[in-house]
Amino acid sequence: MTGLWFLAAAYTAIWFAVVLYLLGLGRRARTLEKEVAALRSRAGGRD
Amino acid sequence: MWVILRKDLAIERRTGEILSSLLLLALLMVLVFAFTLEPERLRDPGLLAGLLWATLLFSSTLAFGRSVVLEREAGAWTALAMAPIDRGAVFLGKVAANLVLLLGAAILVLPVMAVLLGTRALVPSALLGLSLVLGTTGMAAAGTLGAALASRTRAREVLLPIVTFPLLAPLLIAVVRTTAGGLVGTPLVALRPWLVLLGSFDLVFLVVGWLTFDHVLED
Amino acid sequence: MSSRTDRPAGALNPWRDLWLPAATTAAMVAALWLVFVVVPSERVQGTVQRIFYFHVHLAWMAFGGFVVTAGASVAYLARGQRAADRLAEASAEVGLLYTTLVLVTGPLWARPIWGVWWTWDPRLTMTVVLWAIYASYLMLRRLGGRDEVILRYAAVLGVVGVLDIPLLIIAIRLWRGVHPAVLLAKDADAGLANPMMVQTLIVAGVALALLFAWLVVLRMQFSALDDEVEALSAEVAA
Repeated sequence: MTGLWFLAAAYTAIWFAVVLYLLGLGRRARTLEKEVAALRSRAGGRD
Repeated sequence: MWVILRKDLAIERRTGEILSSLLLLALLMVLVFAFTLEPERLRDPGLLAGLLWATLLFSSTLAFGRSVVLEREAGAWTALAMAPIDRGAVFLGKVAANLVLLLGAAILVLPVMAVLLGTRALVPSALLGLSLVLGTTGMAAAGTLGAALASRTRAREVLLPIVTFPLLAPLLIAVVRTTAGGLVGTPLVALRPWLVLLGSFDLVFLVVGWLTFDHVLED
Repeated sequence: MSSRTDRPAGALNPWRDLWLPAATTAAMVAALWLVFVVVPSERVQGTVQRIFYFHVHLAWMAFGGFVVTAGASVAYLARGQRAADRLAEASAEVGLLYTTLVLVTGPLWARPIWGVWWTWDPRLTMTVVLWAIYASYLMLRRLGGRDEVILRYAAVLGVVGVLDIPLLIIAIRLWRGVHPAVLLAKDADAGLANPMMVQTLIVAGVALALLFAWLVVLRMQFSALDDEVEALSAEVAA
């Protein structure tokens, strides 16, 4: 039964880390996309 | 290369800044070890070898960082980059200067450490000499490269050990074994694979540094 | 950079944005199904051995990621293409993620089998030093910012780091002796006797390789976006 506990812990850790990494990347990417949009409109406004 | 070596050593002779701080720091490390690890337990020559290299490792990162910072502060780095000499030679010259300092410190610190810690056996041998030379050469090569790489960042004092310590792992593992062997008079042949490893480490880092310094100095 | 319609970083690419994630997900579901449902438990170690199917690949791909970083670093030093640098960075970051997972799943497997969380066995020692090299590489990039000089410095470190690995392997082998045959003996005698185990191992490998590739692609896309922001702010400031 303890074997199952260690197994579950290992795979949970893997999934937790991967999902966290993906979410973090997505969040930072969205911030950057907003920045791009803002900069574009400013650049566009001046043209 | 010899020009750089002579120049660095001349600065050092005049100020004595790096060597004196290197030695003082090493001495303080001996005290730290004695306080934290019960001096009675440190009589073993194997431990002396480990402590010696740990001391040299910590002291050298500070000293090497300093040597690059001095150049940058004086604006000499850019001058070096523009000088009509091979950049690889600049690297080798810097390594040679650092090597002289580090080897000098090692030779001075080892007996002091042995006396203060009351190490039982201390046999000066060819193996010991070889270990010190090969070990400090590798440390100087990797440390010089690491110092140059860290020098352009914020928090370079922190980054320098972070960059060099993992790279120095193979050197440390090997040099502590050979130094311990040298201290108790193990025949040289018994530790041959370790010595070959040390030699290869030195060679790899000297060659890689020599080849890549072109990219490092170019700013 | 004047046109407002060209969006190199954000444009949809069917191969990258559809097929790769879809294939990764499918392979991953298949791998998990095989690991948890189909494959029989290993005789000696029991259920815990199922960690092995992911653990081993994570370790090898962590190594592989380092080689990719080094290769891309050489390319960057030689030709100075931004894309090579992005690949080096992305591969190092995903490699660090994989190495971290090796270091997490390893002890979780070692504890029930060997009775300890950690031993200074050659492979474990190796992995931990590798982790430190990856971490120092990424730390240099983070503290250095996106200055062109720093990118070159990072590339040098990427190359030096991978050259350090053979020396490290020899040093650790000499130091700790050859791997204490735990894995080898187990593999030879009971280990992967069941053909289902081999298939599971292969599918898990494919899944983790696809995941690695997908994460690297995402990370590179992110860097490209970052560069775009940089370029645009320079344009606005000008």
